[in-house]
Amino acid sequence: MSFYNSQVKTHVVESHYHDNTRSEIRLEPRNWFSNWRLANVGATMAGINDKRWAMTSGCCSGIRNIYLYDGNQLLDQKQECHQHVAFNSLRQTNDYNQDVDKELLQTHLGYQVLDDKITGSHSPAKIITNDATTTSTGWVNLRNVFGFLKGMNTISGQTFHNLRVLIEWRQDFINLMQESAGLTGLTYLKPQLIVDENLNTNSKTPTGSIPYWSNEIDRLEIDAVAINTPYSLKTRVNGFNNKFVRRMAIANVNATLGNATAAANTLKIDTSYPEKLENLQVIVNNNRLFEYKGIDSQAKKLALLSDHWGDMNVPLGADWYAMTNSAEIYNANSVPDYMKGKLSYYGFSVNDKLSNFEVEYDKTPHANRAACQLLFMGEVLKELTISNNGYVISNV
Amino acid sequence: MSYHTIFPTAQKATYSPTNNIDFKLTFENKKLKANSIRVSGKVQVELTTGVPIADQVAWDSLNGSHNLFSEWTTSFESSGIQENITDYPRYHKMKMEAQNCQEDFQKSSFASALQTPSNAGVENVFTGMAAADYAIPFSLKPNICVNNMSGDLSFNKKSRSVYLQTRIGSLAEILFGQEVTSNTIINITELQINYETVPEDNKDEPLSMVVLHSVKQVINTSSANINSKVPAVVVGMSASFQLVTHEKSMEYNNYATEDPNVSRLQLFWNDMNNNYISFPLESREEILLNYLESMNSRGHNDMLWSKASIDLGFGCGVKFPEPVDLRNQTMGVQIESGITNATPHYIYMYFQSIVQV
Repeated sequence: MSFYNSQVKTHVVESHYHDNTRSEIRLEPRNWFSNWRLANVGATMAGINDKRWAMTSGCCSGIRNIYLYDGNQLLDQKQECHQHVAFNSLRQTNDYNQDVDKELLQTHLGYQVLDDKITGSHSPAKIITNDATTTSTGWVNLRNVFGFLKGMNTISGQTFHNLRVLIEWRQDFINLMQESAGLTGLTYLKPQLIVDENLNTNSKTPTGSIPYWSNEIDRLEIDAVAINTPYSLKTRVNGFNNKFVRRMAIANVNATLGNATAAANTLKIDTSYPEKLENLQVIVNNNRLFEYKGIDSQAKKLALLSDHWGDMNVPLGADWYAMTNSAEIYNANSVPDYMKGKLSYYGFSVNDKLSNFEVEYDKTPHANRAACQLLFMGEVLKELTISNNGYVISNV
Repeated sequence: MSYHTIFPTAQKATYSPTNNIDFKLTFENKKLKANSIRVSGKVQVELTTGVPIADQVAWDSLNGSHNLFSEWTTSFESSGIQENITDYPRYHKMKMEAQNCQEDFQKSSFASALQTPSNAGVENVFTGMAAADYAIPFSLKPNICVNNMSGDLSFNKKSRSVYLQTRIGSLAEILFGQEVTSNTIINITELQINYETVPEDNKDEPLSMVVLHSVKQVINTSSANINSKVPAVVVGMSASFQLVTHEKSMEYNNYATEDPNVSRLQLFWNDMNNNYISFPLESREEILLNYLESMNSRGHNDMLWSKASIDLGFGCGVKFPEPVDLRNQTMGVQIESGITNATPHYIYMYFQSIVQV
């Protein structure tokens, strides 16, 4: 059955407000299907013609935070959106990353095997230019960004009167692209929202309770650690208290490793760096989540992530803190070669309402490590309750 | 949900080739979460003691750390042995080859089991993360019946304790290459099983498991007749071949799926109504297509004519249109091939059955 028929009308909505720090798109109160798409996501840069968006987050590397409001009521949000997009891009299949997201999200993932070696995918990443008509622009499925949209089929104008999407753009331009030199004077393009209106007057406004999963974050600061020095941290993470968390992913975000001081073709900060002798134990409501030591090897870390978040599109060695030799496994200077030792997330299921959430984290880095952050990304259960008097959003 | 870690019942600091290892999973008042069993540890391969691998040493790359475990036996305290798979890495290799093309190996569940798309890159796996740190962590999900369940397994109502027994393969089963000698060392440390449980809900719903039965025979003629009997109702049979002289030889990959130039295959059995069924496959294309169906291939595979022509990437098999009861009858397989008495081959047949628990 075709989705598009005479009962569906597609609108392209221009930004109501746009500058280089934020954009806002407003929607009229109509019955909208929830398959919202953000288009024309991109930028121009003066005087250059050879830069490409960061490998894992693509055109979304410019989006720091994105919010979905109804008037002043926050419906859903994704803070550090670029980190979420990077994580979710890695969760796509190799084929999808090579053939679809390379075009739509402008990521640089997906690999092929040539002459028995793993190398980058068959099409080059899109180039950012100094011309708005030729620069690379991306397309973002907002259902993958807002759990609120994923949880609903239609967004009724009778319930939500002043829908607006607010985007806050990143200003640390040096971290947005694969290349490191000459990244100044970036100008974000004016994004557009593509939405489908449901013209079927017989469709009913949903009422009652609608659950949805919203991504929330919290952070832990990790001190700088010298080479071969054991580091240990035991602390409470309060950002998820009194919330039901289904799954959690943790990224080790190291801005120093990923920023301007690093060479070209790095993954920048939209990744998670593995560490030598890394161990994580999680304490949920005063009970240790993992028996024995915890997640005490890179393989267990990667396996648990695969079991609970689905397979990640990473080649062997991406989760190792280093690799002695790689000339026989990767093509030198290809995307998988850049990834070795740079992609290692924690991921597990919690499935509990948290009253106390603690982590014990240990590492003994194989090189001097600057201060960094553990970024906790949790799937939090929310509930939208619609009645004749309006609606309420609450944590379950 | 709870996460568990257990160690072998006879725990050692280091495990070596041909060691037998037993695990006991006890989860009273809980259910074993379906398909959650992982084997984790660290593997270190050395040319001789203290000398890391330089090159010319490999294992079957599509298997990765699955190569380490040559047999798996699964038993329930309540009902005894459920499954006994010999030549386990060969079946795993056949599954990998039939269900994945080389590009599909760029994913985390394979990376954690040290699986790579090509044997050529394996030496880079063995050299590890740093010069002094080449004990490589692995975590694999063995393809055994308790990882092929339709639902969670109740301790109280179904299995009681679950016993897993495995054997670490011999050196020549695991490794191959010009530099492999009897002095080559494989050490496995921190060996453990990780599994997950969920609370017991006291529902006694039927549960099905895919159980494998393996049969190995020798063929030494161009027109061979094989009769096999397994104690199960089977839904498919998949087979691969190996030159007898290549078995457990350090020079050859013990899990290569060799092609003895099979030109015709015919299977015979009696169906549930005792009707005699004959199923002939007359061309190599037909044989390969049916093999892929028997391995539940999903459109991606690594079976290339270019590989088959160099004696790799071949198999035969059939997914039966309806279950076949082989408990009281034999299945006949007639194979016409290029095998002679000068080039005898093993045929490894794996029968898949679905068992209600």
